Amino acid sequence: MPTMGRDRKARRQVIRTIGVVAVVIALALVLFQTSPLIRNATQPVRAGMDDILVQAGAVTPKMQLPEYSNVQFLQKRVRELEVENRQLAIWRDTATSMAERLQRYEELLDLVGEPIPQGISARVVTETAGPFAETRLANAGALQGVQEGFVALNTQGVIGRIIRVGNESSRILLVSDFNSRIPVMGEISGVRAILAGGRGEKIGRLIDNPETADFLPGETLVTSGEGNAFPRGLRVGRAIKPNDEWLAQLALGEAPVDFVRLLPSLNVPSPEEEPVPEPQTDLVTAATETEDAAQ
Amino acid sequence: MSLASRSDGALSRYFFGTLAILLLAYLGLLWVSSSPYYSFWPLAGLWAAVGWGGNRLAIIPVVLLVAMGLAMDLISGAPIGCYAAIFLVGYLVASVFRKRATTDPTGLIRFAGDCAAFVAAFLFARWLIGAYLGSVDTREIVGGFLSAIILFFPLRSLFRASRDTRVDA
Repeated sequence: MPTMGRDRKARRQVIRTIGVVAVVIALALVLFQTSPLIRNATQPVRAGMDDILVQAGAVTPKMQLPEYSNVQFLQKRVRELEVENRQLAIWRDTATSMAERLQRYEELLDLVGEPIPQGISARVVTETAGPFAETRLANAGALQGVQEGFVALNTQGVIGRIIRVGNESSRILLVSDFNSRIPVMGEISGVRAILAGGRGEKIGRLIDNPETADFLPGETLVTSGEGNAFPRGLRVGRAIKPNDEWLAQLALGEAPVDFVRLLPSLNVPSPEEEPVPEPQTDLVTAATETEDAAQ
Repeated sequence: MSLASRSDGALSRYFFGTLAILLLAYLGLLWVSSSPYYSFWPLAGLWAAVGWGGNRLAIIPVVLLVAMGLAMDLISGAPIGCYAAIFLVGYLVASVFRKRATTDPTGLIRFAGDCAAFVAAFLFARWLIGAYLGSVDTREIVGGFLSAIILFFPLRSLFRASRDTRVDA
């Protein structure tokens, strides 16, 4: 019997040691992944997992929390929306007229226009929230033409960009993620800043403001297009100043992220990346000599 | 003697516990709505870690916790090994209180052990996440852990790996 007791104790000791060793190995794995090289090596595994999740999500009906509301509230909301709709109709006509005038001006000035991006619509099937990543998984991937760096928009504006692409899935890093950085500017003031996440789904921080000027309270924040990661002029949110600090009220929090539009980022190559080919001097000389001889 | 017969039904309990957590993770993943409820599902593995830690130490729960942790890492975008380490810390700390808990008829030691395991896992997670990201919004982790702790006690019997009632006295 004492032998059995000793055996059990020894067995527990072994298992405890295995547990501690497993923790140490897991910690070492985490430590290794601070290197981008090693972290990138895990991308194919993660992309494969994303594909599996999308397929799992596709076969499951989308769930929503039950909403408890009363009829009076809904009627009031309908009236508000009708008023807003009438006002928006006036703005729509004005916008159409201005767009036509702008097009005429561009033609007169012979301005090099920007191509209208051809996007892909997708449905968001899963979400991942937590301290490490604020991401969503969309059910369109490389087979549908999605590439890393595509910009994701919902009905209100930019919600993030694609950071990983599987065959039939793509992972969107939300603008609210701790690691997200987007160059933005005030639509009216033109003041520039970097929009950073990490303050929840509705609020973003405005950091690295190189100018001393202030945003206008409530003005729309749009992407400034710097760094070529995002096309210029996409709505991101509104500038607010609840205390002493300018913050962004994110478009992400204004509408549900269920369907998204994935647009390619307008990657304008630098002159160094796409130099003008120099004329081949030997061929030019030979052609000139041939012309001279013919004359 | 087969492994199943020696395990005194613990294998099936491990199986159902794992299944419950994976099911919750699956539901949590598909919960695509702007709900005010905090998404705590990656930490649900701690229920199993703390619950199984109340039973005698065994190799199967360690393997299952590592596997669940790796799955949570891949799904939630955490560095691989992160959640596995957090779950194992919870398991090991809960197991420290096992022997005294079985001789305590009031169940206070078991309760204290469970709480200590959650707190230790929280502090470890706080340190690990902070060390990896450089900075971290603690409120978010606190919310996740509190949700996990509050829900653990009503669900504790699901993650009991023994028929011995003294474990959950």
